[in-house]
Amino acid sequence: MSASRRRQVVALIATLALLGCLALGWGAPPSLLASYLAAYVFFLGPALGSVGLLMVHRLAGNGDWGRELRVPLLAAGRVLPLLAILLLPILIGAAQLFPWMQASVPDAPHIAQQRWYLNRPFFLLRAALCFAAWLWLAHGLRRRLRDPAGELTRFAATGLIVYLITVSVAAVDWIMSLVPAWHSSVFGLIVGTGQLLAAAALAVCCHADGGATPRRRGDIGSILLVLVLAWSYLAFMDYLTVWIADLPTETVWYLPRLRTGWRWLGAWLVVFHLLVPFALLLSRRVKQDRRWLRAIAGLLLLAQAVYALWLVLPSLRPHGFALNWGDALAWLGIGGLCWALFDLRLAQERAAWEAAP
Amino acid sequence: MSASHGCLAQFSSVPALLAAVRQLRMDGYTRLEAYTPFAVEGLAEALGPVRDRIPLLMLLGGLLGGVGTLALQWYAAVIDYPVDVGGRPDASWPAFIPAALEMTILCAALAGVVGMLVGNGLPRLNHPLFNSERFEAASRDGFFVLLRADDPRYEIDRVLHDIEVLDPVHVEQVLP
Repeated sequence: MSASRRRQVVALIATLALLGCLALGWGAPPSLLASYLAAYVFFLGPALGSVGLLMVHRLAGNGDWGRELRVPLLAAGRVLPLLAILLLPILIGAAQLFPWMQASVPDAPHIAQQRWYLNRPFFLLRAALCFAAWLWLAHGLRRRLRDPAGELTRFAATGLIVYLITVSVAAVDWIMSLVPAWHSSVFGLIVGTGQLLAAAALAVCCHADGGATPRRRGDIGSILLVLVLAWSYLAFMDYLTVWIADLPTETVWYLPRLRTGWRWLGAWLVVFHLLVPFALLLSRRVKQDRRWLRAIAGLLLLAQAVYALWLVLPSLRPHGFALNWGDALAWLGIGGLCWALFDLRLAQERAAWEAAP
Repeated sequence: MSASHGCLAQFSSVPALLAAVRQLRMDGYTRLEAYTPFAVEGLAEALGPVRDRIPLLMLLGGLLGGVGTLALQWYAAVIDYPVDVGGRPDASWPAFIPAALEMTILCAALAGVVGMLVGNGLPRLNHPLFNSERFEAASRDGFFVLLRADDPRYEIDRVLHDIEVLDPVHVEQVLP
C-alpha cells in the first residue's frame, strides 16, 4: 500500500469514527463531549508543543538537537489548522460540557464572582484569539526558518511569551473550568510543558535518524529528560501545595482523582511518566542507542495520552474510573485525522528540506 | 619494583604517540598514562577502558542523601517532636519530598566530587613525574607516554626494549 493510499484509508476510518461519535453524541452529548475533549487535549499537545519547542530551540542557542528534529516538528506544527476545525464540536457543545454554562450550577456562589470571565461570548472569543495566535506563530516560524535571512530570534522571544499566555488561557478554559471552583496558577505551565514533551517525543519517534550520531542522540535524550523532570516537578508542586493548604477550593480538583478508581491512573503516571523514563534516561548508553531512545519517546507519548485522560475525564466522571466506546471512537477519529495530515506534511517537509537544506 | 614510578617516553608528534600507545596496549600493558599539550582525539580510547566507579558512587551518595533525609524528617516529625498542624498526619510524606530531593542532589554531587578527588589522589603538592627534567615539555610540545611501574607486565628490561622499537625521542625512568 502506498503512503498516500494509507493516509486515505486512515482518514476514511477516522471520519467514520467521528461520524460514530456524532451518532453517539446525539443521544448523550455530555458523556461523548468529555471523551472528545480528552482526545482533543492530547492531540493538540504535539502540534502546539512543536511550535513552542522550535522557538525554545532558537532562543537556546540553535543546538544540533533542534536541527535534527526540525522536520518532524515543523510537520507537527502544520496540523494546527486541522485542530482549529476539530475544536468546533467543543465550542458548539460547550453548553453541554462545561458546568458553568449550565443553568443549574451546584456551587453557584463561586460562579457568580467568575461570570466576568466564565461567560459564553468571552469564552468563544478567547478560543478564537488563541487559535489565531497559534496559527500565526506556526506560520511565521515556518516562513522564517525557510528564509535564510529570516529574523527569528525576536520572533521566537515574542512568540514564547504569547505561547505561554495563550496555552494558559486554553488550559484554564478547556480543562480547568470543568471544575469551576478550582484554581491553580501553575496549571497552564504544566499543560504547556506536557505539550513540549509530547512534541519532542513525537519528533524522536518519527525521526529519520540517518545522520544522527550517538552524541546527538545523547543530547536529544537529555532534552527528553529535562522535559520529564520539568513536567514532574510542576505537577508535583501543584499537588503538594494543594495537599499542604488542604482547602476545599483546591482539593476539589484532586478528590475525584485520588479518592476513586482514577487513583490507579495517577499511580501509572508516577511510574511511567516519571520513574521509568527518568531512570532510563540517566544512562548514557540508553540515550545514545537508537532503539532505546525511540522506545522511551513512545512511552512518553503514551504517558501524555494517559495524562490527557487524567486531566479531563475525572472532572466529568467523578464516581470512578470509567472508559466507554465514545472514548475509543473519539481517540480513533481525532487521532486518525491528525496522523494522516501529519504524515502528509512530514513527507512534504522532508522533501522540501532535502531539496534546499 | 617500587624503585621507580615508571618509564617515561617522549614522542615528537601526535601520530607517533597514538601509534606507540596502541602498540603498547597490544603488547599487553594496561597501566598507561599519556600527557599532551592539548586534547588529542582518540587518545582516551587508545589508552583503553578505565574502571569508572564514579557513577556508582554518585548513585549511592544520592540514595544515602535521599533516604537519609526522609528518615530524618520522619524521625523528627513522628518520634522526636510530633506537632499537630491543622490535623495533618505526623508523617507528611508529600511535604518530605522536596527536602529529600535537594539532599539527594547535594549528596550525589558531593560523592562525585570527593570520589573524583580521592580517586585521582588529589590534592597533592608534588608528583613523581616532576622529577623528570623534560616533563615540562608536556605543556609545550612534548607528547609523553608513561608506563607505570605497578603494571603487571612491568619489567624494566622488557619495557625498555618494547619502547625502543617505537622510536621515541627520549626515554627515562622516573624516580618515585
